[in-house]
Amino acid sequence: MAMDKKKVGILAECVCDLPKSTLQSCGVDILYFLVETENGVFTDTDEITAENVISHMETGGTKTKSAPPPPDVYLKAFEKNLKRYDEVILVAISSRISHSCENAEKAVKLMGEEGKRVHIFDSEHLSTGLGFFVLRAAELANKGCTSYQILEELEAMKPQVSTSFLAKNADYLYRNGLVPAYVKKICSALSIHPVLAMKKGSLRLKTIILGNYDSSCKYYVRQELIGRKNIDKKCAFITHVGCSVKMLKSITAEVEKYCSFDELNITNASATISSNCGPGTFGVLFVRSN
Amino acid sequence: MLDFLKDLKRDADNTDSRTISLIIITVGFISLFMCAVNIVTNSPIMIMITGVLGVWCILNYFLYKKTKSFAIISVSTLTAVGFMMIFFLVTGGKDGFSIVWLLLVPPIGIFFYKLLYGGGFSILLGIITAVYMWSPLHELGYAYSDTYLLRFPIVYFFDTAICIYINYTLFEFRKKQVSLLEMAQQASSTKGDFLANMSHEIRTPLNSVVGMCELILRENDISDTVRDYCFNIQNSGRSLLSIINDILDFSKIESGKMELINEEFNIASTLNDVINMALTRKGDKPIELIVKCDPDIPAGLVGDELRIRQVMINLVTNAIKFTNRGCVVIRVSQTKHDYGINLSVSVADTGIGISPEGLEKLFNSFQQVNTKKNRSVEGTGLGLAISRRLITSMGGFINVSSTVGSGSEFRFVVPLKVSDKKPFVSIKEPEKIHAACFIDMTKFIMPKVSKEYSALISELKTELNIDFELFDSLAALQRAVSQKKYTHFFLGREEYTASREFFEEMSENTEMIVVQDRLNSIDLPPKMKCIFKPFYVMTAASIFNNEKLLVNINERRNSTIRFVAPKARVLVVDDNIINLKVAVGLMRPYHMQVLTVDSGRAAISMLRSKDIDIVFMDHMMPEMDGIEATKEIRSMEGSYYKNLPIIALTANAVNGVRDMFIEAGLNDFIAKPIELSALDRVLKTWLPRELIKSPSARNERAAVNGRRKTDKPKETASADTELLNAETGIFYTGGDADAYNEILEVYVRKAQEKHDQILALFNEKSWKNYVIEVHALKSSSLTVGSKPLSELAKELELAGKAENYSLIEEKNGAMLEMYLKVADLGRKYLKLDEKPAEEAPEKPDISTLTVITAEKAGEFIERIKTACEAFDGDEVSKICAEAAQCAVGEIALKPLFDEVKADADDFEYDSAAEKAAAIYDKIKI
Repeated sequence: MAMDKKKVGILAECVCDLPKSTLQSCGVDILYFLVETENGVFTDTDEITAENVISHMETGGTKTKSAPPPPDVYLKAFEKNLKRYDEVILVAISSRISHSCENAEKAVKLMGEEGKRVHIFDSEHLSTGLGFFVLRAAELANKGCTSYQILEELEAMKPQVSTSFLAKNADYLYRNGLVPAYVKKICSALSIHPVLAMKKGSLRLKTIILGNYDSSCKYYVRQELIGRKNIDKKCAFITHVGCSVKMLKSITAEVEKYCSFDELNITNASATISSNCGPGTFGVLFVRSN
Repeated sequence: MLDFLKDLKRDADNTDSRTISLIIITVGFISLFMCAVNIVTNSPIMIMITGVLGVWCILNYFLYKKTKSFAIISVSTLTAVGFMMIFFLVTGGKDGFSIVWLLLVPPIGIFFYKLLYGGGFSILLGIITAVYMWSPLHELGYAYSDTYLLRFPIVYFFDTAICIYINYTLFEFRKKQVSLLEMAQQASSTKGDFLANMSHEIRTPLNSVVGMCELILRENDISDTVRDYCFNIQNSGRSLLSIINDILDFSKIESGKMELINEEFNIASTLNDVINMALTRKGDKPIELIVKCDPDIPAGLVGDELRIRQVMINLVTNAIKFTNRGCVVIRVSQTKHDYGINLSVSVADTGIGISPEGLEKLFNSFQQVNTKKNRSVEGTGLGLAISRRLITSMGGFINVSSTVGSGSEFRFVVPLKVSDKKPFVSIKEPEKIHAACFIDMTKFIMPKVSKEYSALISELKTELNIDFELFDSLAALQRAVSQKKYTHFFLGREEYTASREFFEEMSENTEMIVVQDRLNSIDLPPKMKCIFKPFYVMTAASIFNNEKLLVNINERRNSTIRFVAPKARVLVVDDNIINLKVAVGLMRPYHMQVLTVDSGRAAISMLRSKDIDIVFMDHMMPEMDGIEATKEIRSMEGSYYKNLPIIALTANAVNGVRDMFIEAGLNDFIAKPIELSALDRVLKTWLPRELIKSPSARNERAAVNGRRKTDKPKETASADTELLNAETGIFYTGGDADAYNEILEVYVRKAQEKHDQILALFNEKSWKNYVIEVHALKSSSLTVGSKPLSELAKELELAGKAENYSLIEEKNGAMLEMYLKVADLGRKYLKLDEKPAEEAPEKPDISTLTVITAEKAGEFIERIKTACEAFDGDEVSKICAEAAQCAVGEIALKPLFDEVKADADDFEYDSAAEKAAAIYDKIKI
């Protein structure tokens, strides 16, 4: 019934780290990023997973470079969706950390007049932080909202989404040029675990946590959730890169200790996200209520 | 010093140059500013310090900008620190300040500039300080108080000593770590070498064991018990061999000795081999094997096909192993890139699935997830570890997703170069094809299976760009058929049997193809065709292109070998052992001499040494493919090589493949899997005429029975079928009808003699020997397919063992009567009665024989006795053949030794030895 009302198609990128089945059930089409290694170029999720990226780097791989899909892929996706819907919204990863918006805009330009029916929304977030926007956009589109209403709602959501991660160390941040070598050395020497958060579209160092990683994880969860009354308890994500089942259980228990979410989803980070932050990284991502 | 500079440069190269420049220039400007301030405040010492630091920073900034070398800055810093030390020492500065500076030198120097250089620099400064303080030199500058003179150098030297000690300990510790790591690596490498050598050493004799079992199983005169034992030995040997191969592969990978061989290959051939293997492993398990393959995958790929196939087989075998119902879906797809393609293969199943904890250790060596649950499943747990290493070494990735209870999906992707961009499957005239398919989805218990089949048909329609409809109800199909005409119609065996009349009527206007299970196929009317599962893009393309892959099942069943070519020498070249076995099996009824080799190179070398009449050459092989090998053969000197018939074996369904082969110098081609009718056609066309013979009476029998194991043998008279069932007999003789005939013949010929022997023992009440004879009758009767006689013999054998002689007395007559009846039936089956009456034994012409002495004949006898003791039948036959060419005086040895040979052929070695010994009397030695 809802589909009959749907006039706006929603397109998401795989870096929203939502399971394929979830996106398919919401009627959202996915665009896959590419991960380049010294041996070839692989499609995120379909051909290469987070575990693959990590094991590649750990076994002597020197190169893992991620890139958004080229403009022609966006173009095909837009055209395909415009056959079914009046308008299309691409919910994109922050333009400050990826060229995805840029490539999508190039595709829109190639479409000429048709391009006016395509809207690119720069979420200023990544991972399941971006996932919140995708889910909300899909929900509104399925309700039959117009593109204007959807974009307005998404814009208002930007400051409410909390996207942060605790990285086990700064090794991968250094490999990807996010921090200089000395920061990596200091982090490693002093057991410093950086907490990175999205702020105004950029990934910034929010704070650092010192000491044993297990206790640091608990400390991070506590810092994120304790005493916050404005958390929207409907849904939260624990998004991780190669964390063990045991560790995830411990993190889930810690999250539930401080905040009881109606829906607490554990998701794997995509290969693109993993290639930038390394194994053991995880984040508790949620939305603040008004 | 050079090393030191190199170290420094390496450190510097890893450092962000912009940050360094920024720090240096900032400190430089601040220092100069402070210097200016100090000029105003008139503080000469501070002017000196800030001035030097400022100038030093500015100089270093430009130095660094120019050289980009951190080494320069490091040396210059150490020099500056040294200069400042001496400056403070001489000027006195603020007394205490100089001590702080100096005390900081050892830790900084030693930590940043390594033990030797940092320690050396620190000691040098200490010596300068001591010399200055304790020598008249201090009169040149600041005069320190006595307290300084005593305490400062001592504290300084202790400081240096402690730093050096700590660093030395750390240095030693690291050295030990490195040495331990090297030892561990060495141990691991030795272990790998040991495993590789051991596996190789074990593999060689094991191959012999498996091979010898094969030979024993081919023998006719072995009992069913021995056959069973031998079959079990062979199976266990094969399992062990596969485990050892895994270990060998793994140890090769571990020790870095596994080399990838990148060669051109065609995915069609790989897929065909994988499917063949999968079908063998699947057996009669009630699971559907569904294959989905992108037809646009380029026809020529460059990579290590052998290893890709190994991984595919491993994944498919695992999936079949852990799935008891539902389906196993193999999907092969591609993504195009500048360098070629990424070949993706996924194998999904509806098996038991893997828990998240299991997934974590899945790709580890020697691990089998949930060993309790999988106790019945064999394996080393190395397969997935090997697969991952292989895929990783090819630059690809392998991963898995699974849900407990729902199944698992293994996927791998490898980047490959492309040598031929043409799609590996194409349809000649897609616009002319209007195909349809009827699958009754209700027959599948699991919805996943019907979903996968629906998706398969839909994908075929899109990918082959043809009109292809799927019907899941007969009513809908009947409506559609009344309105539209289809060129091809596919349906399952169950669907056909449910509405036989409708489909047979439909076959008048439409090409009807029934898709059946290889192990469970039924007869079809002549107009209907049959293909075997799995139905996928390659079989579909072959049908639409009208390639000769279609099988009229009845034709296939009834096909008889209309000729034999016992003198023809055939060479089959294929890198896959299963394909070789299939080919050899198919050629057996032609009585040809079949030679096999596993590579193009080996084929060429065999052709150099042996005269071959026809070559069957696999298209895709590692190292040298069929086309390359053919080109090389054709380029060899002599008309023989130019005219030798070479037939391509290919699984490639590309349109126009025949032209390609002919252009490359091959004469013809047969599509894989090889069908008897195609083989028959090719042999008749290409074998030299003089080698083709009409089958003789005996060969006719062989020809009639020269069919596959599943085919029905010629039946004995219906009323007597139960008493002598040839089908059962063929089954017990390993499925080889020819072997059965030979065994039956021996059985029939010996029947009267054995009958009399049993009767004599019965009359003599020699129960012990009676039981032995009856036991032998039980086994031999079952082997020839006489179950009732075997059971009766078994009953009497048991009665004999239990000393129940009354039962023997009661039933012995019936058994012996039945024995003669069975022999009679066998004689009729073999048409022995129709043979011309046995001629009188041919009297050898003494003049053509070599006359030997009695002593020389004695040697033959002794050799035979030794061979009999060793149960070596071959050796006995060989000696008898030698002896048959000789005579002692007027006595030809042939008839005497023929009796010996006959006994040895019946495995009666004691009797053979006795008869051999009796020859002594006959030749009067």
